[in-house]
Amino acid sequence: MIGENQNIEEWFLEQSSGVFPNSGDYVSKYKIIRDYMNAQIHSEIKSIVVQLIPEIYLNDHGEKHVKKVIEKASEIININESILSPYEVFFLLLAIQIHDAGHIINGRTGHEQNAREIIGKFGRETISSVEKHYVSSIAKTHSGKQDPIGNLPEGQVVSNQKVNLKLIASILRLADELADDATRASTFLLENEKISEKSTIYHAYSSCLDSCVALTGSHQIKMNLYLTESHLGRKYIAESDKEIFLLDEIYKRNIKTYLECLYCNRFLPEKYRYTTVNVDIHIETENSAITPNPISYRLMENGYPEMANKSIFEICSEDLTRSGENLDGRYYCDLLTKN
Amino acid sequence: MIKIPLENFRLPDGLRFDYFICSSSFEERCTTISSIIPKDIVENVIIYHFENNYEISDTRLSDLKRLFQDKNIEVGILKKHLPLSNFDAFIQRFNSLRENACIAIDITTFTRENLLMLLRIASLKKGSFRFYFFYTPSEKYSSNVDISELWLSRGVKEIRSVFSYPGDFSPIKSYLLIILTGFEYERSQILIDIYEPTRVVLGKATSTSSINPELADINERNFNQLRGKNPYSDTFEFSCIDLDETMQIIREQIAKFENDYNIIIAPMNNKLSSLSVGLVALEKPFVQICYASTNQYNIYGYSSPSNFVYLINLSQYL
Amino acid sequence: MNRNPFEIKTPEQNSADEIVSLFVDVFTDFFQVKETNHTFINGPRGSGKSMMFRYILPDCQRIVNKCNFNELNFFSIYIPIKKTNINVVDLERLESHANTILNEHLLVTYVLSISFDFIADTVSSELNPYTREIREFYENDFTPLLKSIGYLVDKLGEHTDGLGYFRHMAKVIAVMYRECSSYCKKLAISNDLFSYNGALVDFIDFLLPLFVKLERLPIFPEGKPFYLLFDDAGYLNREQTKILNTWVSYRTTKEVCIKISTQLDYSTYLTSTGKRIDSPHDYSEINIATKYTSSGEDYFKKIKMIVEKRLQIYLGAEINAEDFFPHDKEQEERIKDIYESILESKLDPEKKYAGTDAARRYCRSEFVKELKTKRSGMTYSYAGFDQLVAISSGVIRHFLAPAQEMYSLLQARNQNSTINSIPNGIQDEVITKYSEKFLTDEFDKIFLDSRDDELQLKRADKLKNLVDSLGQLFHAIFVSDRKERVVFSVALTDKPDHELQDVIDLGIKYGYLHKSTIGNKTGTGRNTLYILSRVLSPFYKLNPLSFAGYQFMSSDTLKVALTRPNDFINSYLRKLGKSDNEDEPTLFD
Repeated sequence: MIGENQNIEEWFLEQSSGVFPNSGDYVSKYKIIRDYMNAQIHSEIKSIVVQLIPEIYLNDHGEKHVKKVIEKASEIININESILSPYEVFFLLLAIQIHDAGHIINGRTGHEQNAREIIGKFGRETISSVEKHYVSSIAKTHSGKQDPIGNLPEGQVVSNQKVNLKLIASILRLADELADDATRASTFLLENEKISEKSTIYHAYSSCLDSCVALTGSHQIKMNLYLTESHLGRKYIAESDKEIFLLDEIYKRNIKTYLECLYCNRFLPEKYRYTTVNVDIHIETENSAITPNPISYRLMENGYPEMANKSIFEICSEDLTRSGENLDGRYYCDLLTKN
Repeated sequence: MIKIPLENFRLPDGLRFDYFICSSSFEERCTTISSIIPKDIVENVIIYHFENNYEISDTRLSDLKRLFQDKNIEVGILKKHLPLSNFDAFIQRFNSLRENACIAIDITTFTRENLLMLLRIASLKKGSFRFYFFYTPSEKYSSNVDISELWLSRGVKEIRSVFSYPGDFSPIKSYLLIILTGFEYERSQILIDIYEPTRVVLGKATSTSSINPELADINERNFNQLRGKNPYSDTFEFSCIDLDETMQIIREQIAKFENDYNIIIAPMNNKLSSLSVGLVALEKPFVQICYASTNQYNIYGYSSPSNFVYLINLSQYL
Repeated sequence: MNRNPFEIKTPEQNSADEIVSLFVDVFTDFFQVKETNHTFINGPRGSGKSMMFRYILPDCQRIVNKCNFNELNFFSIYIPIKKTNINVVDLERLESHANTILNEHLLVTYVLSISFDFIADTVSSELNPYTREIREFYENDFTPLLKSIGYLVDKLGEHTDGLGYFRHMAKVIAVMYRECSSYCKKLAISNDLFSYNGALVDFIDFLLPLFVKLERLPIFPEGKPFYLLFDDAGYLNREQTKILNTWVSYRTTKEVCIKISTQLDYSTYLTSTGKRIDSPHDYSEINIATKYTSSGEDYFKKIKMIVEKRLQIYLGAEINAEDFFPHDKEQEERIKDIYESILESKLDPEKKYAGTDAARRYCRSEFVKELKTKRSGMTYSYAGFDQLVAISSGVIRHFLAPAQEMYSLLQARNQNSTINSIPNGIQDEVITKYSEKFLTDEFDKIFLDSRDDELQLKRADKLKNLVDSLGQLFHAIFVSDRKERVVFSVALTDKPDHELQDVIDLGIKYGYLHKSTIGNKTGTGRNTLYILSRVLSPFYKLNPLSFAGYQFMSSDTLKVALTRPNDFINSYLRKLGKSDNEDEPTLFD
């Protein structure tokens, strides 16, 4: 529940050296990297990206966002229940610090791949090669649909300590997904229409999202959004220059949040799986004709799995179709007859 | 290295051992030195024993315990085919020994692999301990069958590098296999078949270092058979009784090839020649030593102890 | 003196011209090897895997296709995995420290340095006309990629040619390999787990992008993949195997195809990500011995072509394989007589094939029984090309090795004569010894002092018992009056337990048994078939020529053979009416 779980960064900073490999001072190591990131990288991300891609105005991917992700990660799991070891939290926190920093190299495109270059800047006295490799591997998986978390190696041990890369990566990914609330929007600029057209919808979404909370123990993500009448009535430019209502964008994003939960659930322990996204969209209006208000709905797995509505040829199209033909009984019978 | 007759067994004056380490075995030789060594110069005893072994090895373990019954005895259990575990068992034990202790190891019936690992540990610990190796040569092999059908072991179960002698190989160099052959030429051939090295160098024990002329003949015949199957191999001779001579020969062989090949050495003769290989490999860590474990030993007539033993002061070599 | 036409050299020792001239096309049977997918090629030592790999290397392929390197359909690179090179015992220590990352780094650098070196050796001075492009690759792709992981390399002088660049890149990556390898070995004997601070590379972010860029060099076929040929991948340790499997699980076949040969000793199909690679989704698979033991005709034709080619190349003679390895005429004539007599006695106008079927089935069996009855001292002769091929059990080496020895023996006896055929006596002498050696090389005739205690008997001894039991059983059936006498396999009616399966798997690994499946008697499923290697025919006096028969039995029944071979045999002999011990209960239905 909100506020009940200790912040994982605070928890980490309290740990003594003895719990880390070779009794290393990992708290200091983390601080060095964090402070460098705050001073040199986070503040620069937005301005650099704007220079690289002027038409894009990114949401906040800097220090505030990092803090938010840490906060969300602290909601997703209760750190005091020994889900992660202090050493694993070291990896999680560093991955959070650098996961978006790739923007500084390449802008938004493929930014998740550049984590290694960022972490590579730190010397071996701060972080070893193996640790760098792990941190960048985890950070890379915060976005992308090619099952990046599933492709992380299992059963890793470093200096005699287990490191569950998939668990760490899933916490990062889900936390990043949930960290998209109003604190991320450049509200001032939005209100004064100083943000470029293509970026407006992202900022609008963030500004409407009042809260997005992982309710530990109830397997629920609870989202509250607040829309004004002007939000409702306006169309925004989205991807591929299509126009879309904000409400429709919200629906799309909710589906994404739900799918991210389902994906990350594969790697989270049972207690910390999130199977429901519970959404309330409040419309700020006096007009009683605008109903229903709030718009409330739940995204959850309901009854029998959805796949039952699809044919096996749709589900396994790569394996069970050849040149557009389904490899069904008729197909093989015809083959036999022909040959 | 000094040769000590069993009949008149005398060690250098003042030599006392804080620890005496030996290995049980199906071989009778495992008790030779333990039987003869004066018990008043030995303080603590460690006997290493393979678990799940031949029954006769269990009997020999009891014999060894009885020989040292008034001493502080510890039995260290070794596992078959788990060399890392055995190395850790050795090193853990050595880490707990008294500093500056004088340690004697009867290497006679340790496997070649364990002997080499003990040698590695000795080199790591040379600042903390003084090491002496004892060795009882055999005057007869395969005594339970006619000499023309001599066999010591059959089959190769596994081939692996000896732990702590992995060599330093470049992926872009070819492989050279040096074999110090013994009676078991078929095992040597299996090594060649499995490794498929670019080049093979076969070492033959000199007839002068052989125990008797009959064994020398068998050795010669087997070696020629091996050579016949590998006509393009290089050859050399080595001694199985002279540590220094064999070390020098091995150094020369390595020097010929080290620039162009990754070198693997397979010591398949007696423990002394295997020790020579180990000592040279300590000097030249780019060389790998390999070990071929066997399926079956001729436990009823493997060897018979000679009437003398060797004592080696290892600090002269480390 | 003529060179021995059956000399066995490792494929690496043969030049491209020799390989192309000697090679007999097996790709009609194993087309997957050349296809653009990941492939596993499994087979015992000597079954021809390395030869296939050698044949598809660029130097051979351009002779075969009469084209340049950049006109080939793929560019293959040979990656040999030798025993104890990349897999040393010391790496076991990594189980407590960064096992996957470090092993992957070792594997990637191993593969890459060999690849660059291989390209340098194969393409050689033909690289030099493309020096400018290669230099650009070095400066714009290779160097920056290394720099991104913190590894700096020197810029090379203007005088360095294309070949020099490849040699240099091979050395650079070899140094990276050795740095990490050296760290792993120091770690193994250290009391502390100290960190590795060198650069670390992996397949996805390093090896694959490099190959993608490499393919753009004009020396390589445009838009075509590289084939990485891992020979004897069973020698990798478990973690390295999982890493290689992970590479197979990536869908990279447009750029890099992975071809893996194993001696049926591959440790796992798990990946390091916890998934499992499967055929055919992730890779195609061929099992050479299985293919050739179940399809005798294809194999026979292949061996015939190999033999006649070799005779032609090395002896300059156009000799038929059957003529070079003739049958024992007297034996074959007598068998033919027996065939005719059975044919006559079994003729049934209502059953068209009754006579020929019976004659074919029983003629050799009756001949062997005749030999035994007459006590003439004669034994069944295994001379004859068809018998020698059958005995080789689908493994080419089991034909070539005895053939090599037969020729050497004959050469030694007939110093200066031209050899046009191998006499029956020599064929028999060599093949019988070969069969015995095949069996006894791994086994001991002396049982342990605890032969009655099952717990003490080792796996190898159990396997010896099993093989011995089956061999004796099949011989007993062969010389019996049963309807089906040529039995070479057992079909288990149920799943064997762990102990039996363990021993059977060992037998398959050593080549004493082959595995297949057969439809069960009730037509409701399939049973697993375990076929005794025909290399053992001379030793157990079996007829190698037929593929027909199998004996159904339960796994409990077969398991008796592991520890009580005498009981197993005696019970069956009783059933055949030849038991020494009438009072023992039968073990068979």
